[in-house]
Amino acid sequence: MTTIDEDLVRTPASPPRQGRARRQVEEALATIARTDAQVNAFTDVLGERARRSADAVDRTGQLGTLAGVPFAVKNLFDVAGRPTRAGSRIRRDAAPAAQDATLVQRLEAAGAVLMGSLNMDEFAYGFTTENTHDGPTRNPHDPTRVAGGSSGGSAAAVAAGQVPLTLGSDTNGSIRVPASLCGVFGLKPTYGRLSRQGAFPFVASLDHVGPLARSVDLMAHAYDAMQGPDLQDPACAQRPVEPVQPLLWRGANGLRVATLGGWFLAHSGPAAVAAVERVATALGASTQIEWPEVDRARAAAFLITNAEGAALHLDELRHHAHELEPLSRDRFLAGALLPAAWVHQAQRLRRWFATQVAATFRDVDVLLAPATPCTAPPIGTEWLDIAGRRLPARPSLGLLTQPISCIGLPVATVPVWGCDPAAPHLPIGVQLIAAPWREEFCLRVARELEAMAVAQAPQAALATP
Amino acid sequence: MPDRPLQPRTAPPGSATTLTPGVDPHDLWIDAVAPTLGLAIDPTHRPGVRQYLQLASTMAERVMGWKPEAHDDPAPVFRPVAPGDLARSESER
Repeated sequence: MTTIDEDLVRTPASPPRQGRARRQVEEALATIARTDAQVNAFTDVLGERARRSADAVDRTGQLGTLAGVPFAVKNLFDVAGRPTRAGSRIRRDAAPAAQDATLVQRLEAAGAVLMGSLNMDEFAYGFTTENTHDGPTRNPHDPTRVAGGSSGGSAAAVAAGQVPLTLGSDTNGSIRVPASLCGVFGLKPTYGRLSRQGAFPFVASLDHVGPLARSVDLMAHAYDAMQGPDLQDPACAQRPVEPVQPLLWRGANGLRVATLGGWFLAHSGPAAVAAVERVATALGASTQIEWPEVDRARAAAFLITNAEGAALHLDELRHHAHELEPLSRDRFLAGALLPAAWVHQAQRLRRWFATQVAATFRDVDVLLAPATPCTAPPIGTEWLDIAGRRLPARPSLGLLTQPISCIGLPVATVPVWGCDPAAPHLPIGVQLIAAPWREEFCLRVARELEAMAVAQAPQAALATP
Repeated sequence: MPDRPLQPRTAPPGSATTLTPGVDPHDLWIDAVAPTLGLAIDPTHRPGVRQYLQLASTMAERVMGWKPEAHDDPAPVFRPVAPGDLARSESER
């Protein structure tokens, strides 16, 4: 087990000891130094800043539940004094951020300590974190395989035991896919729940931000600390903080749980099906429901992403196309050419789909679906065989997440193990999906599965270099 | 995701109404639209751009095959910004 995340969340019954935050930071720095050559999760390690922050936490004797907890962020979050790269080469000389992103500020206000920034797919357009500029992030549970993306560094850093908590972004699955492939817990909250201020955008219509963590309790503490309105993000809801961590003890008690069939079964490999079956059995969920027109919703998300993302980067596509990530450049270029009518109709379809899905939540509180069609493929994989279909690997890893973020539902991803007979050492995630603003339900069920040891996030046993 | 090999099935709106046999309509679309956006598509990038435009076309088939009612509004909703909102936003910076 890790040397850094024992007793990380301080409770009122465990009073602070002088120097504890600093010790945790030093242990995290040592773990990063020991493991990152194998994982390549970090792009920036902010040792001096982290030491200063930790000393400040120790000096003030801060008693917040996150006091002294080391965390790191996908490198699209603003960090004061540093350029926000968003995985790109061309932004390395961008003006330094004037201040930390809102979520970084809120976590640090609760006593958490920022350790650095993490690798990602360029401009968040990918599901594998095979970043040509910074190198691929490797899956800590099998370094020959991808970590998933686009928040690959965020998931790998947690799985490797470098930090117990990270932040990622999720436009089409970019928290849930890497959480699934790296075997950690992830939360994509309701669209608009957490402020995106200071997070470099990808697709404003679809962008979410959220935490990944080694435990549900820590993830819930962090989520609670980050909630609250923020007028600097026009999509951020004007909702009060609705704390979830104090409600975790309720578990799945009283919640109606069902599985999602149709599209979600048709695009799941055997390991994904087995993982959902295991979770459903543990929760006593025997009902299966289907959403209508999921394939059209997924297509709508694809078009919106392609067009909006390309429009955001039109200037770079015009003048710096050769400096862009080869794995996504041509997709961006194509997106710049899409007819407006396609995108407008996609946005209309999206709203219609949201109303259809909302009706299904009259009869159920939490829905189960795989987070990825399969376990982590080897780095460089071009094609996947999913349920008898040969599909392009990189976009297809998001087949099961994309229709859900398309309509902004909250989802917790929980890691399940031993479902792939060909790769029993690899995890695969199950999505726990609830109606908008019901993160409580997702996290309560996640906590119950963790308590039953159905879902766990063990630290990877990386070989000593 | 299409369940079949990518093929040029849908001519993007605005492309030539009479397609030349053997010419992928997506190439015509690239040639027509890219210059209007100031995009110079490098020849080495064109196969990839064509492939992804074909993929987007298959997605568009699914989206445009849905028949909305007149009152099926788009998902994004504009919220007017009042002067007070600006002041509150600035004070949070």
